[in-house]
Amino acid sequence: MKISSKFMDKKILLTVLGIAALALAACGGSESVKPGIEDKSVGIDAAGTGTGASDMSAKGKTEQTARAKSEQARIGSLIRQKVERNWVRPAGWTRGMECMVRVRLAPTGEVMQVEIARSSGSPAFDRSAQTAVYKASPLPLPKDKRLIEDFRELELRFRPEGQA
Amino acid sequence: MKAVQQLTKLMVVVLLVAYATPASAILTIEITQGVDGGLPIAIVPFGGAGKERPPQDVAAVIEADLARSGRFTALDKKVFVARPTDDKQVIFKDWRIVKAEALVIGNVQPVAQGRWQVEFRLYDIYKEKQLAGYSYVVAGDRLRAVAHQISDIIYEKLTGEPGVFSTRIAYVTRERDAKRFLYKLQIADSDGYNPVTVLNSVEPLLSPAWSPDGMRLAYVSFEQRRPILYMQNVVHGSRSRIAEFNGINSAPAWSPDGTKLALTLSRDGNPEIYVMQMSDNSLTRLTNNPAIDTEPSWSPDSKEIVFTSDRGGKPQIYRMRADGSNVERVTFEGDYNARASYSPDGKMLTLVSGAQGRYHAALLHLQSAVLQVLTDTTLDESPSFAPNGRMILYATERGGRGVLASVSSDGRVRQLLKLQEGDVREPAWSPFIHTTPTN
Repeated sequence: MKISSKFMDKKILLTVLGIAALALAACGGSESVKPGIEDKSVGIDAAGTGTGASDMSAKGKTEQTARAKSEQARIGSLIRQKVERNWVRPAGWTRGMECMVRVRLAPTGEVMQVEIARSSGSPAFDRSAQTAVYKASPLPLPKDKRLIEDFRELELRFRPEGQA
Repeated sequence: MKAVQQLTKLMVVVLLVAYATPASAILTIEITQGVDGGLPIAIVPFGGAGKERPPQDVAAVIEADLARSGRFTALDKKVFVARPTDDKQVIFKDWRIVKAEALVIGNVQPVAQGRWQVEFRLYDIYKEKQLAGYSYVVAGDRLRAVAHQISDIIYEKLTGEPGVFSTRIAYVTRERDAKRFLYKLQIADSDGYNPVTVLNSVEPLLSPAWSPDGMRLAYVSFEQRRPILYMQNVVHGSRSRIAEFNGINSAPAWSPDGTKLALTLSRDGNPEIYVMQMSDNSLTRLTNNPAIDTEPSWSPDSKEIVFTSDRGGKPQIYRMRADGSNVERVTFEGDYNARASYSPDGKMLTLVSGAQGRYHAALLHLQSAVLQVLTDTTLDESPSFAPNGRMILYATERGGRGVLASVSSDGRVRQLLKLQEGDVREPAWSPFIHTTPTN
């Protein structure tokens, strides 16, 4: 399984964190932070940094970022498993078939909408993907409310593997 | 340090603002595994009205059609929590509980003069949407035909491909009376029901081949005590001889445009493949080899012909251009491969593949040269594709006599067709037949 996320605002975050790190360093803070370390985890976590100023040392932030990231991966994996259990791959699928669906979830995880974002070219295959998501409703969500927002809109790429 | 805390607090605010643009952050999750199987469909027994019961169980015919195709799994009625027969009674949640993805309901009611009104509706359970709904009024003896039409609509709505349930099959039966064998060339519905005899003979009949328009059958008859090729109109029964040369006249195969017939003749001494122009009966010889060359079949684009030849010592499938040039062998597995014909998309051949005395209906994937055995029976013969390429009809043996069977082209679902009288051989699946729909 692979989870990828695209952050338009990555640059902004990096810039802001960079400033933070520089500010901390300039004030002689004991924790030295290199902007480069933040780079990998920064995309996922920002919500977690809202816990409070008391834990705003750079190290705490890094840990939180990592925790959030692993939580996101864990939930992503649970979603994948639940959808896979409900996916009846249609007779005649072949390797290389692929369709992308865009899913909107209620805050409870109920599937609100499943749209074909990119068709496989086979109506039966597209339908099977859409139905799998509806059948898997409700989808698992993080307990941490601040992470839920990341899951309200998802893309699921259906790309069968194994013996056709 | 206080200044720093203030600064960080400020930055947290900035961060949250920067983060609060949800459209920019979409997780992508890869789905690669699933359950392989037919689409789970619930087919509720159709309702009725009055005391009179329809002569056919329409829902049962639909269920058998869809299950036979291999693309659907009809759910066991024992798990149904409701049995709606009309739109107002449908509660989608009832069907999500039993994991149905689609639902079929309907009813059959008597109208005047032995006619019946059939209504059906097809629903997508998860989109909570009706996908199709039609009504027909027909005589009792057309109820099966209507059921097949409904199956075709359901199949097409859910798979995006045309169904083949309203197409026909041709085959030869052999029965024994006190003194002799009786042969019949018959045509039946795609599920083997409603057989109609096209021709009776006391001598063998072989190799029925449908014209591309589904109106005529070419076949071999021994009624003159030697194999002669005939062509017969299946609607009004008129027939004509098309090849009665010295020696063998056999293995007819129509070109996709119906203007030519490839066939096997031994008029020049040895069985060779020829092409006959239907307009003037002129012949072109395609093969010239001391071995037996027979069983030609055209590619859907008319550019190639495959055939069986034992020029390598054992029967194997060869391919040539439609003018007879560029002959190449295409089967290398097993010690017997014969009776090949193309899938409608031209990517596969179905054929009989044998090794150690076991003969299976099989698929040859032309590009990869992979041979895929489709059956576990051992005396299969005469496989032919359904016109949508998703099923294969073949004859096999059961209890010492020939029976018809179908298999989904992934090999997953096999089923015997309704048992006909006698010994059944030489099946051929018709092309799509475009008739005006019953309504």
